[in-house]
Amino acid sequence: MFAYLDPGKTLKPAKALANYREFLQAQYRNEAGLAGSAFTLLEAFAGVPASRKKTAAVEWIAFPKTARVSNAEIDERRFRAQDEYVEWRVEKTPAGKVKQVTFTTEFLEYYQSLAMVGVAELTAAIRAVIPGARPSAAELFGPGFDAAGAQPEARGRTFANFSRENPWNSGKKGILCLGQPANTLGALFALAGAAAVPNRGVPAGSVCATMGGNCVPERNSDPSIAAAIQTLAQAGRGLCLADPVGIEIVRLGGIWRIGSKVLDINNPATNEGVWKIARRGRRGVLKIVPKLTLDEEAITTGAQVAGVLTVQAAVLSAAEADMPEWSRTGQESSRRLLEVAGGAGGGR
Amino acid sequence: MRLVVLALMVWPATAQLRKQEREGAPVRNMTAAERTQLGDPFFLLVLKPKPNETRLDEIEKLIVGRSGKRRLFVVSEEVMDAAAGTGHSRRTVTGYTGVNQGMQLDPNVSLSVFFTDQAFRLDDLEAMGWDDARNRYNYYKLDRQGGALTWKFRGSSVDADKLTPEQRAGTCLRCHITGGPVMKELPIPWNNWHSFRSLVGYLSPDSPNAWAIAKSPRFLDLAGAQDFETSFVLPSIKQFDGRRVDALTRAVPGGRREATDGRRLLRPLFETLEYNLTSADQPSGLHPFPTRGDGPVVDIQVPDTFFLNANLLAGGGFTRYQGLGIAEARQFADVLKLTPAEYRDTVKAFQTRIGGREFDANFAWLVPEASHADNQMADILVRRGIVTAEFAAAVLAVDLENPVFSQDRESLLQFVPARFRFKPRNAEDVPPAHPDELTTAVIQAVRASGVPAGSARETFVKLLEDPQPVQRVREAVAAYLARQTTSLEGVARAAEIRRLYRRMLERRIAAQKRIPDLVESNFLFPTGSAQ
Repeated sequence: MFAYLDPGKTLKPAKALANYREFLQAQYRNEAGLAGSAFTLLEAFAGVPASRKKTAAVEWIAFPKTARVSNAEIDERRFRAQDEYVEWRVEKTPAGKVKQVTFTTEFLEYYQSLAMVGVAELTAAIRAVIPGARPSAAELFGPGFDAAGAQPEARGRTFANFSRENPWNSGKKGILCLGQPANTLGALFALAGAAAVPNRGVPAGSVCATMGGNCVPERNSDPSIAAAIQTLAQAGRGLCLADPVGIEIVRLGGIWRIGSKVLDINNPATNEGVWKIARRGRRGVLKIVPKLTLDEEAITTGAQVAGVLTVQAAVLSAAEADMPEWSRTGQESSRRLLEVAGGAGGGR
Repeated sequence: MRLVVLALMVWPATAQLRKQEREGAPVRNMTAAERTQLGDPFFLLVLKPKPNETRLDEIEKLIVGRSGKRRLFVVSEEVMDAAAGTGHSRRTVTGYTGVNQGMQLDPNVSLSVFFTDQAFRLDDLEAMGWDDARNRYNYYKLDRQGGALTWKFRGSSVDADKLTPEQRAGTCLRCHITGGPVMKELPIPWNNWHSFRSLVGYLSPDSPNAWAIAKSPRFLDLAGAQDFETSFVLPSIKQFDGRRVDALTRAVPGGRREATDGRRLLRPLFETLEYNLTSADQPSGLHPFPTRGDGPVVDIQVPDTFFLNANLLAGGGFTRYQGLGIAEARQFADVLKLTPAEYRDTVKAFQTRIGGREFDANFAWLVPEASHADNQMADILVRRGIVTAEFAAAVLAVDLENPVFSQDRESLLQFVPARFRFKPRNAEDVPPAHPDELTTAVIQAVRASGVPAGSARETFVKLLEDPQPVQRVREAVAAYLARQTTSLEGVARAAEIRRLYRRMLERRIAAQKRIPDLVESNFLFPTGSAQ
């Protein structure tokens, strides 16, 4: 199996990395087996010289373009409205002023992998993300579940099923990972795989509308990813999501000030700790200090900040001619591919 | 490639910073006193220390310093034409991010340079910079007017909105009507810009038809229009409009403020000073570049802002307006969905042409909409309590179905008093009560002028006198929505589509008349015959 990286660096100490890699491998295997798709396994790039490989960053804005409600409602309706592979939690003072906004792009499978190892390992990882957190088993798995005595798969599954009610993820006490129904690891891979089927009948920028349920044209994320991948596929390049897989928080836009002083918000050396990106871009925390403004306005919602937050997904590609035969378009059911993928075959 | 390298090498340093009022006017040196009035990053980082610097690479090094970064954007009305060596040029707009010498670069400094498939045209370079202390944009141009290649100061945004067309002629302000940045195709899908919705293949060095210039290092920083919109234009305009409001109001005793030039301050609410171009999100499939197809491959969804000023009425969305909370306005996004055959047949029936060729713009249903510059200003007026949401709703309700270029709405500006007072409002304050001082004054002025039945004045004044104007406008929007939906059903559908298409063509013509210099070629607006 490919040695997928751990973006949060909490899996390996907890012996959960193998679980996480299994989740990822299943996704890669699935899409590499999709008929006619240029999507392939990361293993296919192993023998390609570095100068012949390219990693393209596909960027989009975190603000949920499909939400036709106010910014405050977008904040409140996280699991309905926040559908750009970015979700956030807004903390307020007793007076109702925003004091912190925490963004996450981590997938549920990351924490599910930890839950499969054990409650203590999961709790330790949560504390690494939310310092001081003391989650109970009932908060993480729901009432009445015997987390300590359960089999790993059952524990992981129960944790996943309860993740929107888990107060350390629901927003009540914290936020860990994505929970909006469209923001899943599977959805990202399905989008990438389907977009990698060359469709020369439409411009690459419009392929999203032809991809059925795999791509929502009204979003910022889906058509951006689809267009970039389709362009590569039409150019005869084999491709896949780069390792470490996921969505990376890149930068904030807009004009930030503390009082009249301009703040270089993306420079951690000078931004006075107002904006911190952690976990290899999977988590961003904005602290609202007195007199902080964005584009000359006080921060009153997280959606306001999401409107200037750029995130990205990375796509690895190389000319198919430079890649092994088994990985090329049209070889999706080759035995070698199945051997490399290490499973019973993919395809959707 | 060789030409590109040569072009980026040494250009003669022959000039001091000069000044030129307009194209063709005399060029003269700026005085020391005039230079003290320039405080934007472009002047402070480039022209102040090195007024002779005319090399693009060196100019950009001065701008970014040690930690700044460059982002390159490309726009052209023929951007989808991959043919190289035609002599046609494309425009790059370059923005910079980060901080240099304590100055915030984004979104406060930008350059614009034309390029061909082989080289940048370095003898025709434009720059603009935001002077945060003086609340103004400064415009500069590098060209050979007056002899040698020299930088000229070409004016500022101060009082730009007051200028007549004659006063604008030959100046940067012939396009920058209010003085701020202009990105015509601001909303998705950014027709005519390189973006994720229109990936311009010849700008990608890996593309089989890549232009030679695409292999130059500058294009490593190529970014999509979505980034220019979000990271540069939206914050720029918000900052600029906010300062315009500041400049036109002043504190008065009692914790209140006074509008010192009421008509000028409220003009963007009543008049179309600028416009943006929106379109359906779907390609027309009928654009002549790179090769004309047979029409769209999916249904064409006509944007809500074609029907009314949905952005301001509803709020939210990509512009993040507070808006007026009339969410029903967004439902117009689902009113008109044309099948590929309907769209193709309509375009052909109107003998639509772009640049003299068959048929259409890159994206379908390209149409002027109420500009972000105007709407942002109107939104700030409401946010700050200068006008009530009720007052703004009453204005927008007049000629509701014509969100741009409405003479009826414009005719009402005369009733706004030259001065009026208001209670300034912070973001979370309770909205001001309706009717406020302004509303009362306007009602009196309209009533005093006479209110003919069925006139715009009548619609306006009745709404202002209503205790709940926002609710009345919400009802009007809902009624319009129902009427429009019904008219697109059954046997009347084809005729209604033709009527709406004709209206779209009329708006393109009106836009060309309103700001002629914004139309850089006859490949901007498809034209059609009357049907």
